[in-house]
Amino acid sequence: MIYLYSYLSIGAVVLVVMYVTHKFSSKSESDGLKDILDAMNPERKKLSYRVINNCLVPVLASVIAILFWPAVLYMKIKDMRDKGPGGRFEEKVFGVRKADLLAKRTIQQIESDEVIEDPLGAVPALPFGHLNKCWKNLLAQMMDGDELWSFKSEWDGNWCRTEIRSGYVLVREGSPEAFILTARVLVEKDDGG
Amino acid sequence: MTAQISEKLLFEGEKHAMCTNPLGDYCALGGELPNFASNRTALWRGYVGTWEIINDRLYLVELHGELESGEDANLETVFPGYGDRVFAHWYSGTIRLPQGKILEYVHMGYGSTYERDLLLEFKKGVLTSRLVKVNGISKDENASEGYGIGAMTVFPREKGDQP
Repeated sequence: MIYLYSYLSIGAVVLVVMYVTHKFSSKSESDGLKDILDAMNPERKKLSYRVINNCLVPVLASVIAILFWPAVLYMKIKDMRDKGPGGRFEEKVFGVRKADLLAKRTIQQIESDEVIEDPLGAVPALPFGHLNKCWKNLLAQMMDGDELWSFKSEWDGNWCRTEIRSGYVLVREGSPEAFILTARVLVEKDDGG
Repeated sequence: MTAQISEKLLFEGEKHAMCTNPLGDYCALGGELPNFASNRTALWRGYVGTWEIINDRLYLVELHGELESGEDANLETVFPGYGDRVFAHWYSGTIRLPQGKILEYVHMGYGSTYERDLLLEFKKGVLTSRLVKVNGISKDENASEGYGIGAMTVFPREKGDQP
């Protein structure tokens, strides 16, 4: 019996620690977010929902945490490892890798290839057309010795979707740095249909 | 997320609901868009664009939206000097035009399924191919025809309100 009491006592300690860390680390819903969530799920305003959400679920979670605290502890540690140092899930940031580089190009070659023309005059006849500002910003970052390369990358983004991204990148001392994108094409998953 | 109001596409003399947002790609490629007000759950992007395919080229020909400043936005607001039409040279990928009766309503994004999808493939704003994908045939005689959304919530806001 003493082992059972010890086991449950550890569970209670784990519960208290989890509760305190949750209280300090999580933010409460802002009014704006509350409005949006209420609009998406009108059930949230009902008494039954509030009773379940505010009373029943916390009690049930507490019982589960005490009974199965090793699993809870494992999930908490895994959660902390998945999150970044700031305690939030790190959003993946796209970057060009060396393996993505295709060919070294000059400014003149790129500007000549990327001028957009339109018979209806619905685009400025400049390199990269309506995105000319992005090109100018990239050129403004060029330093002596920098090279310009075309690239093509496969990118597994933050929304479980794979894209093929292509564009031009500044290569400084052999390392890809700033870039501009000229296309991103979603890779359709074969659903068998 | 609520089902979203579609974009519109004028193609071969017909007006289609278009379940793709090419302006999202413009933004993703570094293009600057003003801050649109998202004041209804069915239009998180804050604008509706009308597109047209002329000689196999995709153009944005109309845009209606509201800015966070409370001002109305149009094509001239977003692309100064190009208030009549804008060639969507930045867009490469597939544009989906749902057709026929609804098979399954999904109250999220463009998630609903219709009997057919007309899929238009573009490369740098130029139409390269088209394909009709058949998703099924509705057995419900009363099923609604064409793209639509079930419900939305509008968040009232005063002009000049900041989020």
